[in-house]
Amino acid sequence: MKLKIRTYASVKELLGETFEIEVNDYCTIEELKKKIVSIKPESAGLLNICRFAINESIVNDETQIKEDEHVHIIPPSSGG
Amino acid sequence: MSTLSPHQVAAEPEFITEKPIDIDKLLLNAHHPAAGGIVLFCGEVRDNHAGKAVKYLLYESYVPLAEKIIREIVQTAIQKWNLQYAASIHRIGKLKASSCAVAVVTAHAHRKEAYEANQYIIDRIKHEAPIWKCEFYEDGTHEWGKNC
Repeated sequence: MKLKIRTYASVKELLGETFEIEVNDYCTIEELKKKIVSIKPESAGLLNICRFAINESIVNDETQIKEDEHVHIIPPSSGG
Repeated sequence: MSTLSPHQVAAEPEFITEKPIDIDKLLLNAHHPAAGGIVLFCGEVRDNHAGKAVKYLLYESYVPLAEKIIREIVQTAIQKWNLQYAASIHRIGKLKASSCAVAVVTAHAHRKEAYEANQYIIDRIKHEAPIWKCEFYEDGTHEWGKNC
């Protein structure tokens, strides 16, 4: 299945603000991270400290992603 | 807004804004007859970082999630400290030095709790809300904030 990804801040500069990626059905966040790293190895360090969100909620590495869901990659906060 | 019951936030609170933060309004809303102390914190833009002159900051956010998280933080603080009032608002977009980037107001019967709750809110917002700042320097370079 093809997933739509939205990124922010430092991740946006590395991977682009939005992109699509082909993954296996029932892909987890952990598997998505590995897939991105396989395409862009230099993203490994940054992705390891990012949170991921689906439907405006933070999800964990084991969360399975459904086909129509948009995944947001959230680097460490630096507001304030 | 000054007639809010204890343990409430404003009916339609604004947590993220692209406009300048209205500090006067924020403070005015916090007045409550049972509150003996109101604490107002403003996080402001500095004109320097790590020895480099900062031209401006650019804040961006994943707004729906940031609003959800800030709302939860403020409501948790209200319950935890039994506050008469609490609110917080974070600005996004391009900000120059001395601009207010984030403000937190807390009202309690006593100042100790108002101070503690205020610090709790700003600390959690800085760590948890999906908001990022990019510093643009006078030398033409820029850098995203690593963390808070």
